[in-house]
Amino acid sequence: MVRPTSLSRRWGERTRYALYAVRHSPLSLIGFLIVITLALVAILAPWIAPYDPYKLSIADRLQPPSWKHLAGTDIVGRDLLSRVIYGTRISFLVGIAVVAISITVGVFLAAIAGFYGGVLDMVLMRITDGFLAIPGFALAMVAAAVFKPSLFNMIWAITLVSWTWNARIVRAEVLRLRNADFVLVQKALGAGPMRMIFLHIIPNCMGPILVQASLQLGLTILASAGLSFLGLGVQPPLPDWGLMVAEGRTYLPGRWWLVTFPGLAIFLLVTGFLLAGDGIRDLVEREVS
Amino acid sequence: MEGSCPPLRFMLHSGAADDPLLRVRGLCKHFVLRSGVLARHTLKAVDDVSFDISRGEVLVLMGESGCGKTTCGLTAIRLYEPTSGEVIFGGKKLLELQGNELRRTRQEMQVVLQNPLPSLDPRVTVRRAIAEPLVIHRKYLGLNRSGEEARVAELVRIVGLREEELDRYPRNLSGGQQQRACICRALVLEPRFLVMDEPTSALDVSVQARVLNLLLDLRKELSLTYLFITHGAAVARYIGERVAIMYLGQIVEMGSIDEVLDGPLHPYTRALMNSVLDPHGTVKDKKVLLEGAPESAVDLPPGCCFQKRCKQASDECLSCAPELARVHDGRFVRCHKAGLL
Amino acid sequence: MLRYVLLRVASIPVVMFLVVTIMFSLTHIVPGGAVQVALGPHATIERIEAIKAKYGLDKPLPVQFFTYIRNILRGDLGESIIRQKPVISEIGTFLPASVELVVLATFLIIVIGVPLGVMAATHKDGLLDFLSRGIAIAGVSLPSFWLALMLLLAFSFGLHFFPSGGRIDPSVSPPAHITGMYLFDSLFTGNWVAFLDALRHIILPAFTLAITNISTTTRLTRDGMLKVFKEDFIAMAWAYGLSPRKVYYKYALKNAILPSITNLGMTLAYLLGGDFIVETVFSFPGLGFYATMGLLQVDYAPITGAAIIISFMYLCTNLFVDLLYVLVDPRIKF
Repeated sequence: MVRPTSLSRRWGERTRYALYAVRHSPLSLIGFLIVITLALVAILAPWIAPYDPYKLSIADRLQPPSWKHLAGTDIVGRDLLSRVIYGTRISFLVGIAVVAISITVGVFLAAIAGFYGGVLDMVLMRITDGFLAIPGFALAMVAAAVFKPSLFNMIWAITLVSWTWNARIVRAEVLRLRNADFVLVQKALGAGPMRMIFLHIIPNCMGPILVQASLQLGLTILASAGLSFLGLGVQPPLPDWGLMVAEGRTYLPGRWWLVTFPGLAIFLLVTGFLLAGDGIRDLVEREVS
Repeated sequence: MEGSCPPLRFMLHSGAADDPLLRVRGLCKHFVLRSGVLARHTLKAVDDVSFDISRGEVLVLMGESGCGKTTCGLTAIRLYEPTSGEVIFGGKKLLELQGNELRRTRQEMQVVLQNPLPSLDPRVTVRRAIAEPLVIHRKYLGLNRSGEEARVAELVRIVGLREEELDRYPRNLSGGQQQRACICRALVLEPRFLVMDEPTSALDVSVQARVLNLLLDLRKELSLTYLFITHGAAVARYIGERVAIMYLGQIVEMGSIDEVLDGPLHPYTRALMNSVLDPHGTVKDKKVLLEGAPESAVDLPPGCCFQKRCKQASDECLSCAPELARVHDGRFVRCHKAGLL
Repeated sequence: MLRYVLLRVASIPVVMFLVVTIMFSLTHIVPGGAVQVALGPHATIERIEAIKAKYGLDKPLPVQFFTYIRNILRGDLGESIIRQKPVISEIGTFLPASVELVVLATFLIIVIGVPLGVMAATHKDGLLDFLSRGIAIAGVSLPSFWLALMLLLAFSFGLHFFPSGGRIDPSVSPPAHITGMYLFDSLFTGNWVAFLDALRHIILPAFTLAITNISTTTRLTRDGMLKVFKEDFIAMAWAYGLSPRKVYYKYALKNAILPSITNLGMTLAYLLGGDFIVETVFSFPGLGFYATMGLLQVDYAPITGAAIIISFMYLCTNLFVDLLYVLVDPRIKF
């Protein structure tokens, strides 16, 4: 059956397809909703947060949750809810930065190495093997510790670990596609390697790349929370969730709210990304078959 | 005149009229396979192939699956790098060209592959796919936007695609339409030579005839030369003028279509022709049927390539590989026992 | 086949070389002198110079690199600058604890994850499926340090079931040293007091590790079971009138289990290096704890030493699992 596809109809087809996919997978819909809601929270933080996240108020310190401070206050009297809300910004920032850089570097290196093969490919494979042999978190920790811990350096540390993952996936896809008929025809038409790689092969890899990106976002946020918890990432007074858990740890078991709410936030956002990623994966697999 | 498309310049190529357009000598494509710890095997997909194709001619490359005809065709236009041999295209030594010069020569020789759907980038509309070669060679063609559009429109009309089909994605077209799109794309650079690798084998029977007719029309209108690869005798007769029969990477017989298919000299060709089912239902000569399984071209023994399945094989055939010998003008056979049957 | 094995084994030194290079590069790019940072702001110049000379840190980089490689091949991973003790012997005391923890965690993963996966498969698209997949995903999304703290809050501070840290109570003497793994050693020597105490200490960290790594096992078990359900021999089992329990566990599970087993191997390998946070939160003196302390004190020898050991164990475990996979599944050829 031949279906019409003028421009507006193409978008209609895509929307209908997306709605169908989502209806059949409510979990991923929940994931997307969570992510979108939290993204809005991050964007609208100055308007949503009841207090200034940096404002100290020693008199109000270590208050349990109340109507005045819905999530309680920390050791220096800062409103925990506001800090958690602003923490959303940091999490999104780190996640997006790491994933964007990882994908860019990974795609570029893997595309060239995978396409040309030979020594280039072997070198890339050995390098990624080396990086992958060191358990990711360990490497990130080392990198984060070596350079003076800060938000900026932590981003680089995590990127150092994740780019290899992207590179692997892209390389596998490029290897699969470089012998495809349509690439061979491109060669006959006189296309240069750059055109073949970046205009034809890479766009056809987007599916797995997207799936990986959404999972990576979740795992990056987990990693950054872990690093900040250990003191190797975001430094005070920034309202990073992992850091807040570390700060609140010394006041356990009494002041449970200091640790519970930031942790819940991490859990929520990461779950959102992972569920959404599952949904994207289903979509991509369905498109392939 | 505004609005009219520039005349298609297919007629204006230079070059001496007598020279063959494509001259292939001793073309080899060998693959080295590894299995086990140290074992190395050589797959001679194309071995010492030589032929000429004159301007405007259709040479059919025929044989069973695995005989190397696809590899031969694609290597001849350097889509695969040959292991050795010489290819002279339009007077130029194809295998010595590099970079931009090679790219520009590629404009003159295009390819249409067997399966149209994988030949098209699934993320690109048909219109963009057809126009893309013009974009690639924009610098050298000197056409402006409207010139490009006009050329595309003209070719689309010739090939028989409709306007509304152009904005679709390949998966939304039928097999015949997809193949027409591929043909159209191959023609947009105004090549003089096309390699067609079984372009109709993947299509419905009813569509096959239409596409074959289209190819014949195009050849006349645009003065094209074809290297047509197929495994079917009927298709070969319909479209071809000369034919080369391949077996395990070598050409075993070559000549005009009628001569070879009606009066085969090589044992393989004879068996092949005898096994073609015809409407009258009987196989003519049971003694000449092919026996044995289709072979692979890995680690071939010395001697004739057909020795394992040939009824007439003798000691000479096992030890000494026959040359492609000239029987008379334009007719070649590679067999010690040719004609002695 | 043999060729594959040889290649894999031969690749380990190559990759290890890369690992060592990466670690060396990272720790030697540090601006401002590693020794100074490690010894703190009160160290005198003489002391810094003395330490530098002792460890050869004043020599040019390539010489240091070469010496480092040579030492590693001799089994010398350097010394901790702060404690002046050889890294390799320190690792020797911390390593068994990690191994114990990881093995126990893997055991828990099997015991919890596989039944969850089976449950999800047998109640496909039902509430139990939804729940078990939810638990699996939640496991991954839970930050391990947070889960650890929550568990501590609940069971240690709240209910006083488990202690809040360490490996064994100070009042209990550790069992005789056979492997260094308390659980094993105490069982072996019949030391019940030590066994129970060690178990109490290890159960929460093991549980934390297990929950955060359950998701892949559950998913693979579920997917494997679902695939096997479609096979003809299962239909035959139903046709014979076998009870659901028999069909699921005796027939289906055996065939579906392979991918999750091999993944378990990978998980084991991964866990060997990944439990930094859990060990730190529980003050469990394993390899991860050791490495983290090194990191926070910016003491490079322990850091690189631990990372190298961890990578090596990771590579070997992966290789072992891959080879096992090839042996177990006769369909795989190379």
